[in-house]
Amino acid sequence: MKALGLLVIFYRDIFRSILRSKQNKRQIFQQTVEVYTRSFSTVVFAGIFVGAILTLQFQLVLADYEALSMLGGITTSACVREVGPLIISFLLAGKIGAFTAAELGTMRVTEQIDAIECLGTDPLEYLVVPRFIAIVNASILLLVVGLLVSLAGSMLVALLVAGVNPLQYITSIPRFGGFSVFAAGMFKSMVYGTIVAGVACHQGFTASGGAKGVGKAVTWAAIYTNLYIVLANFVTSQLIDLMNQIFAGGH
Amino acid sequence: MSASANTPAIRFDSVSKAFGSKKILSEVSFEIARGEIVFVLGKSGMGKSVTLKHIIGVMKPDAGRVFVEGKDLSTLDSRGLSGVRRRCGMVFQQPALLDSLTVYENVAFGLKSPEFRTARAASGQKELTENEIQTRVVEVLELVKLDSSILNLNPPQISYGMQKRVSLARTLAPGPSHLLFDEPTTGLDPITTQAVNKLIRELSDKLKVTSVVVSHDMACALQIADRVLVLDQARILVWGTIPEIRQSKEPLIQDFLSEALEFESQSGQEVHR
Repeated sequence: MKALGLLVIFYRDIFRSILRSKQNKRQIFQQTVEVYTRSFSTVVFAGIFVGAILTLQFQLVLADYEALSMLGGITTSACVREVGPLIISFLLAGKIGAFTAAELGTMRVTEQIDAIECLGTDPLEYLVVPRFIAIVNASILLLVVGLLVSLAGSMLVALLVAGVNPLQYITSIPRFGGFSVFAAGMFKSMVYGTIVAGVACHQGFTASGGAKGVGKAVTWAAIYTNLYIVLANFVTSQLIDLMNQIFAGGH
Repeated sequence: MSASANTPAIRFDSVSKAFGSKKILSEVSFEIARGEIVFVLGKSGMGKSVTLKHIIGVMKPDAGRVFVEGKDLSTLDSRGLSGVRRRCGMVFQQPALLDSLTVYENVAFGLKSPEFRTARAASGQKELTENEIQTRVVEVLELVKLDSSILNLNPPQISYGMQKRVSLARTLAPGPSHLLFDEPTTGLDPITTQAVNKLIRELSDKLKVTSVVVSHDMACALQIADRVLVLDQARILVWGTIPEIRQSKEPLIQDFLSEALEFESQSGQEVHR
């Protein structure tokens, strides 16, 4: 609970800093590109198999009920709204989160952050805010890419294994939510990206105790990120269902 | 309100600090005059670095007061503390340079900081132009005996000793009145150690800055310090000039002195002053 409380205070400080100061757009853009390119291949690789695996599983069940025409809609709904953002976020936590915690943690234990402060610059504003915004931006972009790739993987398996052609696949998607499914996926992606960025920056920024301290920061960044993502998944799913009930009459 | 020339640069008035049940400083009082070189010696965990952190206001005393140029740090708001930090340049144990920036960008960092610019604006000075920053960077690099050929290199491309000097140049660039060194010679070979010590002395003479050096190296203290403060068991064990330190009968001081003499005999360096 203490860790969660400290994280909430850290988020408050970040958002205050974002609102208070002018952001270095160039630095944010560079960081976003760096994070994006560093994780692109991993996300594409994982995305293909997320879609493919879900399709393999669903087609077995749907074939028994002679309902393969719904394969595209069901797979897309599950993939975009639930499994895709979750798995891709776990990957990002491992890759971007660990890297950021290690980078900031090393800067902390080698006194670089103290030096920045002593030279009259707010280290939160200079180091954390650009990374935070960049990770959230890149996470959303990567999740969009991952979800699109997972749909491609899903369509391929649907065609090769279940004989569902891409047109059939796509036309069944609106029956299971259409835009609201994508909006839900995007919303979850943004929330998970914010968790990856915040937890990683917090663990790195508050690291102490030399190399061992950096190791601990990286470990705790991975553990807390995954825990908070699972927790956030539950909360956001409930919230999205509630919103659907209010705005779409229970769909 | 500006402090008079007789006001001590730094003054500790019955400062106490504890971490949990462990007392680090217990009613510690001392004064450091402007332009003096003071070595703060002691074994590990005896509050040397804590003393430095109190001077720049990063740590607050549990009891007692810390004054910098006559200003009681406990009465200052964050802007006032920023002003004190600007007057006190801190040189860290490690070079603490930003690897992603070049030597030039590292040294110019403080000159481009929001605090530095705000302070200049508040005192009616114009913001430094890029040319003026460049001139200042080259100037401080020369002070620490580095030439401008390394300006475009990144810290990992230069030696550790050079990184230490760049770090010192970065601290000097905004023009602090007091320099605080946290174990400046740790991890350096004897030759570079000598060079750094000489540099501290030269800077003090040339720039008339007050230097507070945290160290456990008595040999260095004997070479360049005006006065030495030895901390032990949360209290000041000895506080005096080099001759006074030499006359001390305290076993810890004797241990430090014998180590210094051993260093002298091994390296052939002169530590007697």
